[in-house]
Amino acid sequence: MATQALARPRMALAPVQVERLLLALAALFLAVNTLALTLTIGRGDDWVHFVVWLLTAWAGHLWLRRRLPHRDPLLYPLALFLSGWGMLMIERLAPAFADRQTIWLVVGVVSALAVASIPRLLIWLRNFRYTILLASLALLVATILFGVNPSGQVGAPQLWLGLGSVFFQPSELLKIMLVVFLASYLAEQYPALQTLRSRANRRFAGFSPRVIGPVLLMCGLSVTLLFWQRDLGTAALFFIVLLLMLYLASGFGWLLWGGVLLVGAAGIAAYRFIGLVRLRIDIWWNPWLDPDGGAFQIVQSLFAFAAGGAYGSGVGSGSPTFIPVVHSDFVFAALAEEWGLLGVIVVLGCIVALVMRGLRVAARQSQRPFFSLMAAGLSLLIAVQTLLITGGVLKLIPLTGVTLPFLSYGGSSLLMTFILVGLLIRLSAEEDGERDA
Amino acid sequence: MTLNRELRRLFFGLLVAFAIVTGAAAYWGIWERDALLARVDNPRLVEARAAVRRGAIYDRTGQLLVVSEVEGQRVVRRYLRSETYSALGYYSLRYGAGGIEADFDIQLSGSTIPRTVEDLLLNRPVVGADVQVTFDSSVQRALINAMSARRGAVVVMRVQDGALLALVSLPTFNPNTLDQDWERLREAPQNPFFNRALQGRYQPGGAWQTPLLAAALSTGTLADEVLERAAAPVRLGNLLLVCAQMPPAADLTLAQAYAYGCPAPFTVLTDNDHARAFLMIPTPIASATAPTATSAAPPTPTPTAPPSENPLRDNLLGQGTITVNPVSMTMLVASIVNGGNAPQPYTLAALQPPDGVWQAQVATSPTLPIMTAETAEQLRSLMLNAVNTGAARAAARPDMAIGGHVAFAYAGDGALSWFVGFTTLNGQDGIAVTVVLENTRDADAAASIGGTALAAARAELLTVPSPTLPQSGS
Repeated sequence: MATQALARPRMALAPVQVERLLLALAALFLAVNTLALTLTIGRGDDWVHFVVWLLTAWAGHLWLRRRLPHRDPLLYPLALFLSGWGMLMIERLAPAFADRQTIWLVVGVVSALAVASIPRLLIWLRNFRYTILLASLALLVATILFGVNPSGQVGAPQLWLGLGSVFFQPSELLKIMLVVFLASYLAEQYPALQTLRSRANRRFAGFSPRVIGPVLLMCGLSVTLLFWQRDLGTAALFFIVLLLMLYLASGFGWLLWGGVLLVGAAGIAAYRFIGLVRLRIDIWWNPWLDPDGGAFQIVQSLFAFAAGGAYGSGVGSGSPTFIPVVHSDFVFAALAEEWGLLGVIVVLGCIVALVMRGLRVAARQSQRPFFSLMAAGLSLLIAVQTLLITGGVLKLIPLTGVTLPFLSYGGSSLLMTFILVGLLIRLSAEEDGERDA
Repeated sequence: MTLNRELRRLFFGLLVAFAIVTGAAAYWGIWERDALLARVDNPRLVEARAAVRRGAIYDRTGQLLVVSEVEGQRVVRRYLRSETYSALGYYSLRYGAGGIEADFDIQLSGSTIPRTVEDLLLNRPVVGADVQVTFDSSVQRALINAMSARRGAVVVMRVQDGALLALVSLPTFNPNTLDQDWERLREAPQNPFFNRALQGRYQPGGAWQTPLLAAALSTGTLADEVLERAAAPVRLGNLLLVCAQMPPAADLTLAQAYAYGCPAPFTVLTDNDHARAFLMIPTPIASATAPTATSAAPPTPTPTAPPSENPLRDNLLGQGTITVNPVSMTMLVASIVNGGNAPQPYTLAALQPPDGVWQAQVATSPTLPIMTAETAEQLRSLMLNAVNTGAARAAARPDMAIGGHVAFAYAGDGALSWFVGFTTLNGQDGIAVTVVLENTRDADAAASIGGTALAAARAELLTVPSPTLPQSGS
């Protein structure tokens, strides 16, 4: 009997069933929390957003099942789950922005599906890497000339381009395009890099200027423009992702240690010469010196974590709105207050799962360096961005002011994160030789 | 292919980084939780208090005095009867609680009421218990009207059990506008935050004659012996102590001297060998504390007269270091009606938990023995005589047996006017009152306010003998 039981074939779910099951669980979670929000705060239009999410999620699932049957079954439901949770949080924290966020969610999902479904998109991206990156940089330059801040706040960074009531942040596009550029360029240089590494046989093998020059030029230009705009968080994100992708392509371990030293040295220099950096580092080092002034936001964030405890106060029952602009940079603290450490673990677990699946795609595409580096780079973007903002909110590192993927309010951020997921879905389908899209 | 090795390393590096972030969240959310939640600059403390539906307060006849009303996202505390402002104190999110609001804060804020799973799931606000106090708003109103713009305190107590029927302290403040008025009130020269009835420690002056007389009678001193020059003023350092009202003759008995509030016969007691014993007897009164003493203002020490060469004599004449509280003086008077035993004051009549029914609270504190029943009976008749024929005649009311005593005390550059008195109901039940008016030498005003208090309280107790529980759920 025991032998027969062991010999029984495993009842594994088909990928499409896994995706459907995960979407159903996400829908259940959102329905329960929307109900709780309705009972505690009592706004009926929360259900409209939930229904929109449900229809979008289901339509996307049907579309992907038809167009990309061999895709990774976790990427889409994880993205929908996290973005649905983010939508719920915006309803809770900034109801005036909930309709807009829901619309961006729909636009984001449609864009992700479109990106995932265009057959030759990845080839175009590889072939037109300079054009695409330069176009993105041109948009970034345009923000220096014509940039606005949707809040209208005097002195706030003007990182958006506006068209009527619609605002777009080019640096969000630039993040993805930079990864595309690096993946394409490093994939092209991949044989040379491997040869260099095998020949060097030294611990500190280096790059030749011919190989590294274009990378440093394009990335240096991007980071300089971002510094110019005082978008230090995105600049830090670019720099870290650049280092990690160089490490992936070359295998040079010193890049990581050198990167840490370089970040430290840049931090010290920025502390001395850039007032904003000095302020943020001072606040990070000891926020309790000025809890009602400059450190108000971070101190309130820590209070939110304390108020949430292990299980949270429950949706709609906490007081996360004490944190200024909580729906943007500090949505993670709001989540900790109302869903507790349990919610924090679930969200981080989902993001880690998403990153893991992306890296898995990269590993399985290792024979195709462009695909592999692109999948890894996109996954790293999500991971590093999450670590930067969550570490900042928790006082592990100075606050950088980037958004928490999927959860923070912001149309450009949500749209570009979904496009990123769309690319990962496309890459996951490519790994099995998808040609039917 | 080396890529997989680097990917693996990166993946584990990221896992470690995410684990550190989770650890930091656990540190702030669990390890440092209590310390952060207890910080005074954590606005969630105020937020939590603001969400509480604090219980209502009723008077002994079931009149609603204080109620919490929901206005949008806030709960606003409304004080409905101006005559009870000084008796109830205040509740403010910014400045905390004072008076009765502070004394019954645990009940009113519902902090000890267990929350059901349903409450937690539906995020229902914390609801406090309703409280019924022993005050009678009709008596309060009569006293506020009688006091007019005078400064001072009045305490009215039921003798049977020590229930405080009225507590008046003037000037006072409007607790409905406390947040707006706080700074102005704090700087007001007459210190309206200072609850004179509960916190006041006043120079007793001639009011000390009552416990002294009790001590003298208990040691066999005869009240009807004629004393020469009993109406003469007494010099005490720079002070000249005189009768509250000039008697018709210079030679008086101790009873007559007491009736007119003349100090001279009481100086004779200081020459008596039992002088120190006399001082011992009033000790329970001097040391008695009021039932509630929470206020935004620290007690203001009553200015005392400059010390003379004979501190014992100063104290016997009520101008020394001994100070008394109006509530403890009321206890003394109540003991005269109650066979020599002073009831202990209380203010809580009944409680109604949320979704519960009213539960009457029984006063269980034992009475304090002050004097013998015989001495109490003698004093009672002397005080009745003081109202009928002495300086306290302004306290007399038709068809009422009122006993009392008026006196002056000197504090700093000013004077205090005292009246202590009682009326009886049935058997040993009755009503005791103490009136102290600041910065005035007006015996008639003090006695008249005392008479008004006794008449109003008697009328109320005859109409509503015991507290009427408000309707459950009201």
